[in-house]
Amino acid sequence: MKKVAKYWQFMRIGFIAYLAHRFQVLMNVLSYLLVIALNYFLWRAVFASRPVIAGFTMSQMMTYVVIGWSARTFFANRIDRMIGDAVRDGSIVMDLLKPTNFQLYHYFRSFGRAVFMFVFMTLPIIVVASLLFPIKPPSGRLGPYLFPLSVVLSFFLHAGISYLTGLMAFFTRNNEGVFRFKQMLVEVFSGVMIPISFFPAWVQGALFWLPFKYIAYVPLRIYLGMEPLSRVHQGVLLQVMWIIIIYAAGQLLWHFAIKRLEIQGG
Amino acid sequence: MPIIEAHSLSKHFKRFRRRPGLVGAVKDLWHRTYEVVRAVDGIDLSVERGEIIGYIGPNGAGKSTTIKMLTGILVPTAGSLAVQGLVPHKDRYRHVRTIGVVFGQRTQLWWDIAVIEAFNLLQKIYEIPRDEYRQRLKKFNQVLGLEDLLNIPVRKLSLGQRMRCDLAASLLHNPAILFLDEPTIGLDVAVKASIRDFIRETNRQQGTTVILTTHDLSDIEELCSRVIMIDAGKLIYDGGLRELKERVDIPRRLLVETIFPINASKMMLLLKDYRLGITALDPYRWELSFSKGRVNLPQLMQLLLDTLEVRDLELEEPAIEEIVRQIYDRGAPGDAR
Repeated sequence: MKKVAKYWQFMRIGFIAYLAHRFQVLMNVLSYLLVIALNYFLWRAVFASRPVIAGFTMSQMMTYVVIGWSARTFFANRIDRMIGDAVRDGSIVMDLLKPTNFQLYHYFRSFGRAVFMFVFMTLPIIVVASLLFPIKPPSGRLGPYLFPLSVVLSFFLHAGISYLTGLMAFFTRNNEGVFRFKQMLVEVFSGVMIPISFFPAWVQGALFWLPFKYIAYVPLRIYLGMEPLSRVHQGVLLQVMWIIIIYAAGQLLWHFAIKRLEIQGG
Repeated sequence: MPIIEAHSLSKHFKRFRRRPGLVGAVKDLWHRTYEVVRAVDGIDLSVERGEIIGYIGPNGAGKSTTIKMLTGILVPTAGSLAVQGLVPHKDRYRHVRTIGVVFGQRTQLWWDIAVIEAFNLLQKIYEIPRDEYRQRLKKFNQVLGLEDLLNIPVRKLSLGQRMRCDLAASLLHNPAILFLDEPTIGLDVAVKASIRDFIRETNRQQGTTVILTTHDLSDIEELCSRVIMIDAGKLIYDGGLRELKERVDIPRRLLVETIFPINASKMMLLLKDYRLGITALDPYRWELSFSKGRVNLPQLMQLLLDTLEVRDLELEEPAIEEIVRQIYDRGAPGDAR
């Protein structure tokens, strides 16, 4: 019970810390709408020649684009940068002095931020986008329930990947390069930009063994009802499995990271 | 049993040495040379429960590095360390529950959220019983005057306000040991005084052990009964403040600026009854140096004000660096324990 109260409090401060920036965030809604519009017209042009590409119909693709980019505002996080900054400016010291699980602290603090983003970005984007573009509601009997669950899992999966990336700041001076590389991997291989089924077979084969496609591609397929029920369950289970694996890797890496910590002077 | 015990505690850093110029930079790509910095080099410490210890030394002496080992942030290179029977870096989680830390240059609060939210979060993190938390918060509010600050985001606090909040935050869980690293740096006299009172009271009422690093000798004089001095990673003094003062001549300087020029012989004659070092910076400005305690300062100042047309008087307290130099020059007063 005490633990729950602790993580609830982490979420609270993650949420509250962004209240001061809510107008900035609302401005970002506009940029996201622009990106969605660009993608929308791009994909419409692509589908002009053929009715079905890589298993997607045009109307599925349109929904994929809008829901995918909206969901991205929710499952994105800044954990890698927060850790990188803290290591660089030395404030990591203050984190180490708190008797708490650093990894879960970041997960839940960022989840508070994600809840904030859901209210101030995801929802406004979906509302406006659904007025501008034809999007379908979640498909099937389980879609409306399993899709939100799956996106929450996406958040924790992506949080884990960012956490591992952030810990790299303990080992290398060039954080920025590592962070950009991670971001690129997530953008491309999560399936936000292009559905995984558009990739060559060997890339799809490789991605089966990597966590990235469980961030966006898998939940979006669930939303669109493109998978049979057994595959839906499998997808959600694999998300959970990856969250556990990455969490464990984070715990392990943390022990090496803090041994590397060398802070001269202040 | 001592609450903190260290034997030959050391922390060495490996520092990458860059070679100069373009050729050097290219060489560095292939083969890097490192130098070893002995930040803390074999120190022995023994601290009893309830002591207030002034841990002093010049910049870069190894004070902060020691504190970071004692708090479990840095892993010692060599030596043994036990704080309340725990090895700090191995038992970090259990260890940090029982200590409070204030780093003057940092905050343990969260920039974007209000002070009270940060306190509430700390209550959850340290699992402080609610009644105990409320009671302590109420007391801190009174003593440190936090009432008006609680709803302000930390980033909007002034340095003095933030330091009061940070100090309260570090004591919410009633730690057995309080580490204070430069807690009064950059603060005005009134805030300094209230912070010192608060530390003294906490030590008296709760029996909190306090380890204080500072550059401000008046912090030490007001709070500490024992002084540990470190320079270049080694302990150079460990003992009472009084003994330190008795054996080391702590020089103070009084700068006198007059409206009219004064010649040297007149000055010498005027001050012949005092044991002073007299230096003329120019005919208008004089530097009088003397040992603390050997000269009746109010009387001396009265004399100067009565007989000279004084424009300005300025009293310089000795810097820690000066005391360290004296210890070196005269040999350690009382061998380091």
